[in-house]
Amino acid sequence: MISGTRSGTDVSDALDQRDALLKKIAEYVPVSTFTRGDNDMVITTGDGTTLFETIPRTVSFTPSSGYTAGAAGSRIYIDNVPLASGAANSSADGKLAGMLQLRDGVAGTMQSQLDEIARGLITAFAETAPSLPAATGLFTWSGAPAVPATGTLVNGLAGSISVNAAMDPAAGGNPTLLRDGRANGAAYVANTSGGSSYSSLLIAYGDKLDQPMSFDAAAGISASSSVTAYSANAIGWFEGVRKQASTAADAKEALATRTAEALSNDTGVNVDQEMSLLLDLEHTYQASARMMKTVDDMMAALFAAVG
Amino acid sequence: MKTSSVSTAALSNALRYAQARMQSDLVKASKEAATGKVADVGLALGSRTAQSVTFSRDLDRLNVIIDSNGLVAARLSSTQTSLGQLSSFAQNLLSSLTAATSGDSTAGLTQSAGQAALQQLTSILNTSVNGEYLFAGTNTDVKPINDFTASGSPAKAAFDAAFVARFGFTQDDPAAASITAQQMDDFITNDVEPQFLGSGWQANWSNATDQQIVSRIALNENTPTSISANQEGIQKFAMAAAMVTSLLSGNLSEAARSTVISRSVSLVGETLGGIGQLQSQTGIIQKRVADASDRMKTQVDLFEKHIVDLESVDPTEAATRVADLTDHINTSLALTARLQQLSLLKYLT
Repeated sequence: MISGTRSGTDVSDALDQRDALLKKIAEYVPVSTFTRGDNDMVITTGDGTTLFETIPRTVSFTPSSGYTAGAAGSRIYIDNVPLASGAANSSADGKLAGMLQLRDGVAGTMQSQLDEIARGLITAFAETAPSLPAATGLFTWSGAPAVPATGTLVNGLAGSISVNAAMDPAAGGNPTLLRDGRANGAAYVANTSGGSSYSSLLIAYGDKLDQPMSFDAAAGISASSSVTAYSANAIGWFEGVRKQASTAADAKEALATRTAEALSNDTGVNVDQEMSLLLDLEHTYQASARMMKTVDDMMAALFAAVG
Repeated sequence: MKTSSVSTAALSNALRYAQARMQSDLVKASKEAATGKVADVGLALGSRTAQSVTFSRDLDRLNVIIDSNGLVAARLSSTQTSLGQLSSFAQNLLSSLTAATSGDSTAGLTQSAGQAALQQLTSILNTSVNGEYLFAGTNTDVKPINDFTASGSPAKAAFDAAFVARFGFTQDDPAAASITAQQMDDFITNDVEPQFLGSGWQANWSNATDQQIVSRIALNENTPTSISANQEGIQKFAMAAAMVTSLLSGNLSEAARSTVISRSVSLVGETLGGIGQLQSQTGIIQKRVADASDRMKTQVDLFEKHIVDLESVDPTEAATRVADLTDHINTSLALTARLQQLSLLKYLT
């Protein structure tokens, strides 16, 4: 394009192509441009990282084939500068920043909240016996029979929590173990008389779900609440974020509409206007044609008189 | 050269964005008008969704407890009826025994009254409701009381063995006539009583547990909701009936018999008192359960009202919005059509 401009050939087609490409890039990252002499354009991102200056700069990202719980996602580098993700108030500009925010912020927090809820469930249904460590009951995990440490987030617990096979009739277990508290051997039995209507342990499990326990502050909600309250809070937190995002989306959509309209008004043409200009030209053409015809007639008359 | 700044593209796109927005609003508004609830609870309430979730959960829990209270109430009222029947059987036995003391009836008659009472006692205590034995404590899948009159009954065997061990012969032995009132009284106190009021009850008679069924009758209220057969009133009734059945049949002397009968009379008297007490205990629990259910029903109403407050929309407003939006969309479509027709090209032919 630069050489074309210098040699004076028509580069408007290339200019159009460049504009279209810029539009596409701007969907991913915010861009700002300035044009130097000979139509030489420098493209930078909104925060000043160079995307193109004489030569294109590298945008690099090492994809992870899958994310285990709690793993940090790798970053996107533009010209070796890491791309910032969007902040909490959905201020992300461009698709990449928004995606990064979703991956590193919301999804990670939600996952740790689910993990904490799973840990709460395992703890609430743990079997206890005096002088023995608590052992997993109805719900179990990879570290069974030990119960996960209090107040500490275990990454990926929500994915690995399962119903204790010893109590699951579908897995050949015996559900009455839940009533009696026998999943971890005779030392944990609460129903010593073996009565089939023994309900105290079941009621105690129900109570434990309502008793406050400590949660990891890293999950972003309350540090001490009952499992039931915690799960309700997790839903509340998520819907809160969603509402914010939705409000931000509305605002941005309005902005985009206005901008598109202004841009169209500024760069587009009005067919009616152009048409009237065209009519003017037509009229001029007609007038000149008429003039030529008149001259032609006069000449013809002259020649006829002479001839 | 340009006199206005409206491009043809802007003109024809002018209503497109508004149109799309209004259509998505229309979907929401018609949902709201149809259901009376906000279309998307999470989006409408934001972080207050937690409240809505908590209310719904508590509502479900309360409803479940109210349902289970229905079962508890059924069990308690069956228990109450059974206790009433027990009391009237004890009354019958008492009148037979009283008749026997005044010497009007033969020993055989009294003995059969005792046997009838024993069978009635066994059948009442083995009543089951909804697959659960009422008087079994927590051991509700096992019959709480073994039948004393059945052949091979361990309770009967233990009783007879105690008799033989004490006197060296059975009740039917002619030598039984030599037992004095004093000896009989001593036998009853030291040998028979432990079989009923002591460890023998659990060994030979009862499979019930002392532990009662505990039920959750309100969000934070637990109470025992069953009566176990291992109650003193019931044990004394069984003891009186068993003594009358086993001791009046043999060759006992008149004095020994009257000792048996007088001891039985006092036992049945105590039984009546004991059962009365059990009845009032049951009544108190019935009242508690009924009160808890009433209280929870009030709570359910309140919670439902809260949920409606949180999630509902004014149906009139929703309907008006649907009508408004439909109007707007119609106008917008008509305008778009008109704008599209507005072109100088049409007039240049």
